[in-house]
This record gives sequence, C-alpha cells and structure tokens, in this order.
Amino acid sequence: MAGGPEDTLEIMSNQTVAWVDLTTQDVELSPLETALQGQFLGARGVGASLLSRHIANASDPYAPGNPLVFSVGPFTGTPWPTGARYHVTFHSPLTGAYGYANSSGVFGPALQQAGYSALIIVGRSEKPIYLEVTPDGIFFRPAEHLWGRGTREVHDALEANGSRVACIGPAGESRVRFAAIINDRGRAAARCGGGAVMGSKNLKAIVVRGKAQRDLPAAFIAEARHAFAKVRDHPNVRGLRDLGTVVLVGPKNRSGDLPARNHQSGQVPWVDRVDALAIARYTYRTRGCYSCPIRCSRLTRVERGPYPGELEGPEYETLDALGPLCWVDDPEVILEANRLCNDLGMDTISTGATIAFAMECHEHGLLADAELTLQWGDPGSVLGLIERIARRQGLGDLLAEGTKRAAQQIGGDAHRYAMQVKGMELPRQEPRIAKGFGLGHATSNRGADHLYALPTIDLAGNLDAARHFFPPQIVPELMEADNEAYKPDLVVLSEHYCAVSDALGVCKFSTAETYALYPEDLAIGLSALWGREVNGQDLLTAGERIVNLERLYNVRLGLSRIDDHLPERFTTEALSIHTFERDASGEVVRSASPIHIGRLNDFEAMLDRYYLLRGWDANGIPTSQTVRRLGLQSYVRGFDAPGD
Amino acid sequence: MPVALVRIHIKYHNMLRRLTGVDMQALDLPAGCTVQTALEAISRQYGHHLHEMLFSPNGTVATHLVIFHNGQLTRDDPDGLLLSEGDELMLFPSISGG
Repeated sequence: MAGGPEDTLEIMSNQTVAWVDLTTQDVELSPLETALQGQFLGARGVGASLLSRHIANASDPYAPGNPLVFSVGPFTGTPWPTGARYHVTFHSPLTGAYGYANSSGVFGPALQQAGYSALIIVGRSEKPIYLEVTPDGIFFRPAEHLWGRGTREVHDALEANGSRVACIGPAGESRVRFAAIINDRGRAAARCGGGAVMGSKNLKAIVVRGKAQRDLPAAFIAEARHAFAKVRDHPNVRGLRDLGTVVLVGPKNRSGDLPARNHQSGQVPWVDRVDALAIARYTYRTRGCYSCPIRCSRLTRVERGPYPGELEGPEYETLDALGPLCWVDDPEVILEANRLCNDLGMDTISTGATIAFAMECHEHGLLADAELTLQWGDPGSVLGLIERIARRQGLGDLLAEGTKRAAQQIGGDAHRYAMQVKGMELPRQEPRIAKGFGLGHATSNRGADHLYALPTIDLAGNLDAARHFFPPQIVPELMEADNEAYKPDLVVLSEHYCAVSDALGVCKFSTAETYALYPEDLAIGLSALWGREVNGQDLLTAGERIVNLERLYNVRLGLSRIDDHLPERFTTEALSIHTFERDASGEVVRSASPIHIGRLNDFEAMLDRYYLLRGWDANGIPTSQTVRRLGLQSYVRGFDAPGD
Repeated sequence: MPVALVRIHIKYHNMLRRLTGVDMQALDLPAGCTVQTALEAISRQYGHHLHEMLFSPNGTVATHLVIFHNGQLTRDDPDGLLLSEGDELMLFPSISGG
C-alpha cells in the first residue's frame, strides 16, 4: 500500500484534524495528512503517530503540553458493520509509557459525522470546561457546575437533541491512575488512565452535536451491506448475541480460565450464581452499538433489595474482575459495583484487580483498614473501596495509584500479589490456561491487555482461521491450547489484526474474536471507500507498522524485554483444574484429583520466538531493518535501533 | 440378524481431551448413525462433565462445541449428518477471549 508523502490522493473529503489548545482556547483545523492515512489507516494508527510526534514531556503524564488524542477510523460512523469505535491515545499515567483506550457506542460515529477524524487536545484549562464539537466549529464551555458530578449526571446535563457525550467522573478529576472516559452513559474508553489525563486538563466532557455533509461511495455502501449480512449471519457471533460476553463465564470456569481470588484459582464452585443465565435474569433488553449486527450489550435492572438500579452491562471482563476475582458471588453486588465504576469513571478491570490485590495483601497481613474488612467476597469492602479509590479517600488514595505503585509503597511481598504488566492490571484470562493470551498480556505495548492481541483461534477451535493464516505443518500444534510452540505466531498475527481493527474503527467481535470477517473482507470495503486497491496483506502490514510504532515509543522511554513479563505467580505456581459435583445434600464439591494442571512451561522460549518473528532483537527492540521495512525511520528518535 | 456397524474416529481437543483423558478414539456405531448419535455415545461413555460440554441444557448440541467432519467445519444439523465407515470427527470446545 502506498504511503509516501508524494501520495496526494484525496482519500476522504471531510477528514479534519483539530488541534485544540485548552490553555489558550485556540483551535486550529487542518486536513488529515493523506500519507498518515495510507501508513496508519486511522484511529489507533493515527493516534500512535500523533502522540509520538507531539509528546512534550514523557516524565510527566499530566504535563499540560502532552496531547490527548481522540481519533476515529475510516469505517467509524459508516454503515460498515460494527463501525462504531473511537480511540483515545495518550501518555499513560498508569504505565508511564504508551497508553490508549478504545470504546464503542455512538460517540465515535458522531465525531466522524461532525467532520472530525482526530482531536488533538493539549494544554490545561484554568477552570473546568467541556468542549462542544460541531461541524461549524469547536467551542469551549464552562463546566464548573459539572465538576464533582458522576458520569450519569453529566450525561443528563449534556445529552440533549441528539448530542453525544464522552466525559469523566470524580475518579478522573482526582487523577486515579486507571480512571476511564465514559461515553453514551454505559460505554468506557477504560484502560490506561485516559480519564486522569482528561481530568488533569480540567476537561470534564466532550459533546458532539450535528452532522456534516458526507457522501460515501455507492460501491462502499454496497460492500458494507454485504459485510453486515456476513457478520449478522455468522455462527460465531450467535453466543454473543444471545447472551452477551458473559456467555464465556460457564465454559471458562470449566476450563480453568475464570480467574478467581486474584488468580489463586481459575475456577469458582458457585459459577451458576454469576454465569450468563444468572445475568439473564436481570436483563430486560439488548442493545447494539452503531451499525452493529451482533448486539452483544445487555441492559440489566435490579428492581429491589439493597442494590436497585439499571446498567448497560456487565461485560465478561467486568463480571470476573468485580466478581470471582474478588470472590464475590452475588450478581447484584457485581452489578452495583459496575454501576459505581461507570458513574465514578473507572476502568472496571483495573478496579477489580486492584481490590483483589488489596484483599490478598490483607490475607497475608500486609494491609488493613479501620472500616473495611478486606475479606474475600465482602460486598462492603468491594463497594467501599470503589468509592474510596475514586475520591482518593483513606486506603483508596494508595490503591488509586494502581497495583504496581501500591505494592512498592506497601513493601514486603506485596509485589507478588500485583497482577500487572508494565503497571497495568491483567484482564480476565488465566495465562496458565489461555497461553496465547498470557503471552499477549506480556507483550502488549499498553500493558496487560486482552484486546491488544485477542489470540482466540486456538481457544475457539477456529481451525478454518488457523488454516487461513498459518502453514499447514504448524496448525495441529497451534490449535492445542496447552502447546506453547506456536503461540508466538498466533499472538503476532492477532496483534496485527487487532491493530487493523482498531485503526479502521471496527469492533473485534466482527474480526479477531470471531473471524466473521477476514482482513481480505475489510480490504474490499476500504478499497471501495478510498477508491484505490488495498489488499488484506496491506492491512496486516499496516497493523504491524502500528504495533512497531507503539513499541518504538516505549523503547525510547527505556522499556525492553524485562517489561514483557508476567507476574511471577504465572511462571512459578501451577494451577489445578477440577470438575465440580453436587453431593447428596446439594453442596458443590470439587473433584479430589485435578483433571489438568495449568502451567507455563517455557515463557522465555515463547518470548524469544515472538521477538524473532517480529524482527526485534533479543531485548525486544525493533532492528533497524525492521524499522526501515515498515517505513518508521522518522519515529526513531533518542535511540539507535539495533543492527540487523 | 447382527446390526451392521461403522467405525468412526473422534479426536478431542483442549478441555475435551482433559475430560476424556484421550487424544482420540475409535467408536463403533450402528450403520446409519449421525453426528448426534456419536456425541450421545461418547457422552454416555464419559459422563455428565463431558455431556455438559457437548449439549445445552435443552438437549441440543452446545453452541460452544465446534465440530469438524472429515476435516471440514460443519454447521449442519448434527442429527441429520450421517456418518460412514472411516469418518473422522474433530471436536473443539469454543471458548474465546473476553
């Protein structure tokens, strides 16, 4: 795919980039560079380039000059199936390195339809403000009346006449290092602490109003309709549509991939209290994001009892993080915890993992609280800690720093209970069972993350996808979940495909999770949209370029192989997987003998092969040959790429 | 009159292998049997933990079970797909990301 500066093709007519300075309240508009689109497609790729070029102070994530980039992809806001996503790129206060968050709903499409492909937000407002983004311009509005308010109230106040809102809650204002940006009431650009960066700029919300004139090529609309039907009718999306992402809970519990008690276990004996059927009892509607034929989102309601309320969710990740990981078996507590996190504006994954960390520290006598028991499964501790973290009160002030920093302050063995990579808490897979995910958590450039690679092919039994991408001789071993030999191959491919999905602005449930669409399908759509030929391999190469650019950002900060490691629990402790039976009294009992022992046999060998496949040296640094091959020479600043 | 039998082969993957304890097995079934017949047979052989992986509570084949018939992914009705002598079924539990 062409991508040089000589390429002057007008790819899209309304691709405006707005440089928004909160200090001076100036806005500069410019067209999105065509070369940038050619190289990095959009959204995540464009965000990576813009952050790399404009980072002002990498030693302070809250430095006013640092950019907070909101960007959308070429498919965002179009009829392309799942073209609903937007991306936020920033220097992460949680990892101290490359950070981003990605979300769905209708905010991203509204931003695209208002005529903007990226907002580069710099500076710091003297007083709290929100931005009003319209086709006619971007306006600075006072937000002092909204400061301190939860995200629900902010939506109530700003969401009118079809406008769309992304905002922070109290957690972002108090710079909780894993504060989220909440859009469309129930969707979250959750990870890496983007909400804290937004809070540091005194930016409470972004409101998008109005639509710009935009003509999409007829050929693209036809391809989008075809792809929409393909996703809608694909058997791999059926479970997500019928039961949402919580459909995973029961099967994962059987296989030992339902992390519990801070990864001391991969199963809970009471799974039927929190599985998909349990959540279905609270579900009153399903919802799809913009242009989505899958509609995996659940609207749930608790009518009575101590925790009444409504919620969009829970998703699998949230359910495990705030449930089994903290040994909470009451679905109504989990729903309430989810609601609190959304309203206060916090990443549910990091929140749950941080509470589980606190509980395990307490178990080992390292942490106590005068008001909260910190006992496994105690609802008061879970809900109380969420409130305290968001407002940095008491113990919450320590935990708002995330598990890595909190462990350093607690001292002793606390670091052993911090389930994090590069400072970001692990998502809800068990690396000793889902080994591809384990490797992907470790290598992800934004810290531990299930969506950076999403290596599902082996776990999903997707033999057709394996045959599509890999040489036949490695497919049998690759498809064995417990076999580590070709997990690096799976992770590399999946990282590229995920980067493509994020860059185009589509949901991975149509791509790397289900393979309802292959890169070739996306390329057909993009060719029709751009009016020039792009093939599936071009897209995967763009994905590789994005992953390498993100790596280069971190390499400049001194990150290397040592930062691509999992917490020692996963390489030093084995995990016993059992079956469960009900005895005569109805009690659930665990089988005496395990049916499987989960362990990572040779993580270093996986990492070696991963680097080899990537064209990186043994320290995890892209070689100069790799940098040249991907056209990233201009991004190599402050260090010399190693020789070939 | 003796019932004619066909011999099929079943390969188990991942969690299914852990529950059965074998990589693969040969299975003799009455001629005219279907994929459903085969799943029911192994379910009887290995008990309810395997049954939970193969069937939904309503008795239909589980949505998270992926079946390859002679190397090809099949989405056909398991009760309508006839098996012949020497056929191979590959069974994967489908559990993906998050």
